[in-house]
Amino acid sequence: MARIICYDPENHNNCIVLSEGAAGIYRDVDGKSQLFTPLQQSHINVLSANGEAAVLEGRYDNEPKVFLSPSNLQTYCKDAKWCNQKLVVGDAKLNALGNGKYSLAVENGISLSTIASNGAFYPVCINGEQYFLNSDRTAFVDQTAVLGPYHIPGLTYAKAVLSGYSELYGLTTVFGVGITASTSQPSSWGTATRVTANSTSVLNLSYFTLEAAQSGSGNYLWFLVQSSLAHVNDNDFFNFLYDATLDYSISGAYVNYSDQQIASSSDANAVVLEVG
Amino acid sequence: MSSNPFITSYDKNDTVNGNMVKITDGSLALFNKCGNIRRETSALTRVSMGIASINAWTELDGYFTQTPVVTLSPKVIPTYLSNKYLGTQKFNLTYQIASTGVTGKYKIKPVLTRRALAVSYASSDVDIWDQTSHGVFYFTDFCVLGKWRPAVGSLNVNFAFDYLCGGQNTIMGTNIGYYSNVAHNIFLDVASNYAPGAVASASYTQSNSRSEINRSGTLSYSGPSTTYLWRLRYERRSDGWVNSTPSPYNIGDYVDWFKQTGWSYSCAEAAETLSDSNFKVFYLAVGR
Repeated sequence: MARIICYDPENHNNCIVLSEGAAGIYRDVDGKSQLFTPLQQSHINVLSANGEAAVLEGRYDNEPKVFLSPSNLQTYCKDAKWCNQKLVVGDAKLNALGNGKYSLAVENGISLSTIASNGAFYPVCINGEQYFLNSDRTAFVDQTAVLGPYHIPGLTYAKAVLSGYSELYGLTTVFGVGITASTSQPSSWGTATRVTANSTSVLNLSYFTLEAAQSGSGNYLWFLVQSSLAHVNDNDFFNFLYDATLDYSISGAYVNYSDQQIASSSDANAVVLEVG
Repeated sequence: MSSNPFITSYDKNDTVNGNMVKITDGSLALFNKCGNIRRETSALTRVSMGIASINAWTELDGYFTQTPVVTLSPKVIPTYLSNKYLGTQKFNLTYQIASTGVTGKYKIKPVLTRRALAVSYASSDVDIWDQTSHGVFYFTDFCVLGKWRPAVGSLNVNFAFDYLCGGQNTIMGTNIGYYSNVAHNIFLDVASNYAPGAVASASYTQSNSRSEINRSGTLSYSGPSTTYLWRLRYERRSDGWVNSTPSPYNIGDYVDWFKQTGWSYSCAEAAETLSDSNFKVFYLAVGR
């Protein structure tokens, strides 16, 4: 191997070595000659981030390293407003083409993803009312409210509390939580049920809470509020008097969800700096 | 260590301002003639690059004669955290660099800071419950659930209520009137998880419901710097009817309303250093 070595006349551990295809500066470190600055080449390439491979400029004896920088990206998705979100730049995948040439692709592209979370609070701010009398106030009508969908990509578990108020006797309230993959309503629910007594005593405050939970695998959260009123005795007179309503609210849910891509990056680019 | 060049190669036609290569013990530099003046146009530098975790030390490859300059680019970093959704968010990516203790060796620690800009809001948007419109009158315990609303930081909620209730007991006889002892309780419920709870309350006792009570007040909460939900909950408890004679009241003697009359919240700007090791950056260190 042909080489030119330029020594520091006072310390031969300090030197510059020129050889075919390489140059390096060596310095004395604690009595040993250590390579400080090797000859390097660098190029800047503009890549599509959609996974397509591009042939890099220059030729390299060894596989180069790659520094990626996103240049066109989405940083926030409003449909996942209540999920933490992150930018993910895929791995640089180099492919040796021979004769020192390489191609480069950004594996999985550049994407916006939710950040997996266990026990996150997902607010929904639901304030609702159910009314149980028919239009001429002669009979009770069962009520069902299906609330949703709320978009939580990668949803695996949800637990929620319904807080309600009603003065009604003989009222059955079912509160449910559902998980679906699409925006179609759930076919099954995790439910909790409350049945009030058919009391004839003086009416008492009926502020109550119901907790329901559901496990599954999907992208959408739903709530079910289902109530029915039984006419059991004359004391239901009060039900009629008092407009026969259930007021309820749901503040939010305790949710688990996994990392999930929420925006593709097919229109994004990456700037690549490579060093050999 | 000598600072004299080991090798200097000049342009023979212009030894003063012409192109030149200079090799010393510490650098290999190129000089080019720019506007008839010799200027250094490039020098051989060392580059170290790779992927580093946030808030953790990563040692740089190779040796540097002096502290290198580092640039960072996102690999996996958060861009939005929902717990401060009410405020504008800024993410600042910087780094610390230090010697490893070995001559010429360095390490870096990427630091990711999230700042949520200050938020303040005031509204006279109100929730009103008015029982007079029901046209029905009897003593009972009662409750009003206000709407859930988001806030961040310190919160002040104003409320007012009015209650008057007395009537003629037609069951006992036209000369028999009635009233009740009533307790009025207003709660400020907060949900920072799925199960709401009261963080402040106000109580008022009305010993005779025939004497109208009219009160207003403010419930406050020095909340967290992260977003939470709040509502007012009004509860009224009656300890039962009290009959009296003679009956001075008719069924029309009935007033009852409760309303939330406004609110405000504010939160100072806060900075936090994120430390999740799943967050990563590309780094590029350049030096000699």
